Amino acid sequence: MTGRRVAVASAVWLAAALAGLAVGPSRIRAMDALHALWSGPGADGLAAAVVWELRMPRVLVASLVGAALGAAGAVTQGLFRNPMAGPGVLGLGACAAFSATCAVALGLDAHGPMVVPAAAAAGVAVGLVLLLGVGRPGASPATLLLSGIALGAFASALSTLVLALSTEQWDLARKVLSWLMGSFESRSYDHVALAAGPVTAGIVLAWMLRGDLDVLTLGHEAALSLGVTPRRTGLFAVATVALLAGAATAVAGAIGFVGLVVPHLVRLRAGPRHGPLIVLSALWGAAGLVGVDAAARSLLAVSIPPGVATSLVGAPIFLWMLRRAARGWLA
Amino acid sequence: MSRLSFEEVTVEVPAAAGPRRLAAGLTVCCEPGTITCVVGPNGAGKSTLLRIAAGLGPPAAGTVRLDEAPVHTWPPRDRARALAYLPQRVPLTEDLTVRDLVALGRHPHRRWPLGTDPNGDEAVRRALRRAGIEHLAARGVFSLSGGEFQLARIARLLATQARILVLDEPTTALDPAHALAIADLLAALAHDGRALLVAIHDLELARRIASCVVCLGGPDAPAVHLGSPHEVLVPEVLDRVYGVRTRLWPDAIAFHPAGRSDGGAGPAAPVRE
Repeated sequence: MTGRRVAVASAVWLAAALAGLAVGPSRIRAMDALHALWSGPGADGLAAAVVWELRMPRVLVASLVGAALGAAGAVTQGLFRNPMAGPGVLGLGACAAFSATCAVALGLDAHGPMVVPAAAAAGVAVGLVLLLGVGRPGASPATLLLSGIALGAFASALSTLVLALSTEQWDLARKVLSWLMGSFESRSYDHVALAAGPVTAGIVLAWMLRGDLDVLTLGHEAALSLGVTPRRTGLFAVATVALLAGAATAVAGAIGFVGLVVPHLVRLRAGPRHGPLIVLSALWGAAGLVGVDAAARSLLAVSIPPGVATSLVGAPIFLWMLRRAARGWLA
Repeated sequence: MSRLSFEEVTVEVPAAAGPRRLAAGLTVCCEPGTITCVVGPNGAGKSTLLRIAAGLGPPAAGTVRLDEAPVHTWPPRDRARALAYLPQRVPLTEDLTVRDLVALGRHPHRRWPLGTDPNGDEAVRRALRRAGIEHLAARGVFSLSGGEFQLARIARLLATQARILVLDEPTTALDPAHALAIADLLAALAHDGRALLVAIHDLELARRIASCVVCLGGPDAPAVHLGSPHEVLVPEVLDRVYGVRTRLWPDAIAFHPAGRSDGGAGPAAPVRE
């Protein structure tokens, strides 16, 4: 059953990726694009350049970001045993967005394309130290949750402040906004290389936490009696979410909703065990983000931020699935 | 054979005015093949004592030993394979299947890093069969009755293959038929050679299954009454501990408010055991 679900999710992701490579605002026919894809990266011509230099990194970045957010959401919901939890509740994405925003506002992005992602990663690290210093994951999940929400609100307020101060210069405000709303525009293989390591490591870590997260559903005392230390599991889970959400925000800015909705939908269909849940959330997160991005680019002339697109598409699907699922957390 | 022995154990709970002593100087040994029942009024420290017995915290004084070493100093995974603990019933947040719930008991057997457990499926099957709930294996826990859920939780303990079981109020809030079914299962598990430590509210069930009874006296009387059911579950002890008037029949215990002289309705000719 799980094997079939993984195969279906992988197939959907592959189809979405092909669609993302075939369509886009450049005036290239889809068949030419796929032919350029088939010919390999070295081929001459506009189609090859567009497919291999513009669309491929974009699709790969969207895949990595979607997989990271899906897996991070599954871990967060398992850690807090709460369906309202997405990776955003730890406030780490907001920290990344804030430090990226500061880097843009200070003009550091002129020093190279990787400066802003590096700043975002540094923001996650600082946020993680603050969160663990204040929240102490062993204390109780509620304390950690509230600390994360407070940290996120604080970082978001600071980002908004930077945005408000920068509205005098329209160019600067636009760059800041693109971080706060998320963007896949002009992403390169450098971004792919930056995200690939932490996202892979984060998904492997998440998968290794699956048994502990399963046991946590029995409650604190029973988990302790089965040899799981909730404090240690919490620490690893928070670090994993930091790695995943941090890498995602560093290369694409703040993208909401994917981390909340994807694990939730997967859980409704595939059940609550964290092994399948983490793997399927990563695959469906990647498929969803790539698919929505491809659809938005092919259907609309204007470029809409992926965070907005995922919410516009995801929220109605989410409500529809909730209505269909008579059981489950919110039913 | 593993055993759990209490040596001069003192139980305290934190309170606003400093720690409150609930039991002092408890010395008892849970041997294979026996059921030790812990009884006492609400707030007497039954759950705290069981938590200590399960190694989740040290006692205020004295030692609880699992075999040779103090139980709270055992490495958690080793301890989880030797001793299984059923906390008081808490609702699950996830609609696991019964089989998946029982399989969580295999957690301390899974090997790092891939989580392999060669004997896992067989142990889960045996646990389901021992608890008599093979037919429920594919059901979601949200669809179970209270009694079925409790059987599934006990099967989760059995999947650990631990020889010592510590159960906190396994029969509370169950109808008489299910409470009796659980009590009979516990008696059978002890008969297999396991050592059981059970906190229980129902004194009639305690009298039915206990090899040894530990009666905690409550916050005002940290003394502990210890002995066979015939020695402890008697009016002299129960009247003082529970603050009621107790009447005892061969297979029934009746309580009446203290201070009333008539015994109320009940079988004729009370018998002291």
